[in-house]
Amino acid sequence: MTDFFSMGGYGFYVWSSYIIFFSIISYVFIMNLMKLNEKKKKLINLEKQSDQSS
Amino acid sequence: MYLKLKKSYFDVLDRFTPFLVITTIISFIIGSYFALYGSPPDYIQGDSMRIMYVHVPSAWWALMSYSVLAVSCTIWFITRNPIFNLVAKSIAPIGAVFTLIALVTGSIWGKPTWGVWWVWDARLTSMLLLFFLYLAYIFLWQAISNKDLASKISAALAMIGFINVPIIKFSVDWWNTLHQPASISKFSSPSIDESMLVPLFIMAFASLCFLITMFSVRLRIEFIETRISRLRQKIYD
Repeated sequence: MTDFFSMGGYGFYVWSSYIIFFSIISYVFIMNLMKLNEKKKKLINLEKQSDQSS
Repeated sequence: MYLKLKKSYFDVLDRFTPFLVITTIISFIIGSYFALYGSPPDYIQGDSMRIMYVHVPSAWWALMSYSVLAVSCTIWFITRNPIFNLVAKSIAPIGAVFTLIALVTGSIWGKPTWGVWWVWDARLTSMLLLFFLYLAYIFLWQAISNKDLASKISAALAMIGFINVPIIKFSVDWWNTLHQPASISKFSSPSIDESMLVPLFIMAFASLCFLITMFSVRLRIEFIETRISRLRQKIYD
């Protein structure tokens, strides 16, 4: 197990690369999904407003 | 400028998203198992070579995304069909993210392999230029309020910037560089062992699934934003 984490002495480089990779893609995915939901709500509200005004 | 798109097309994308997300997660889990545990270390670079499994797919999809961006902008320039603007605007941030990951993980891999975090050689510099091209494309859309003008200038930038793609690809052959040449080419058999090729392809597939997922999300955001601005005009005019 220790060998797995130490990665032959390259543990810092290997693990930091994977942590950075998965952190960035998770952050980008969550932020965009939140943005999509927010935009959907905004669109529904505007569509209601538009229906009322017409 | 009328967007000839039906809302129902985007509802299909909505229904496909959970399937795409699950495929992405499962393939990343399998890929990471083989990349970190189920494959042997390199006989020269040791375990530091495992960085390749996140670095190389990121670089591949960064270049592919820019090609999609440049092609979309070119088609928009010819046809003026706004759907190609949406495609270009949707792919740009994803390409920028993959370029950033390729740069950062490449730099981390460079330290134990070359002894330095960064060198100003052809491959690294052209990859950094690609990142700035993505940023410039995104920034132009935000900075120019006249959307017609923004479309023209950003499309021109994307098309001119495409010159950088073959430069990145062939930089390792054209110039002396610390960066190794391509191990996988369509003209010859791969120069890396199958035991390393399998995790590489699984991680590449997972990253591609992530790219498609993000592209479908970004495309819907762009489409909704277009509808919102049109509705605002209708309500407030």
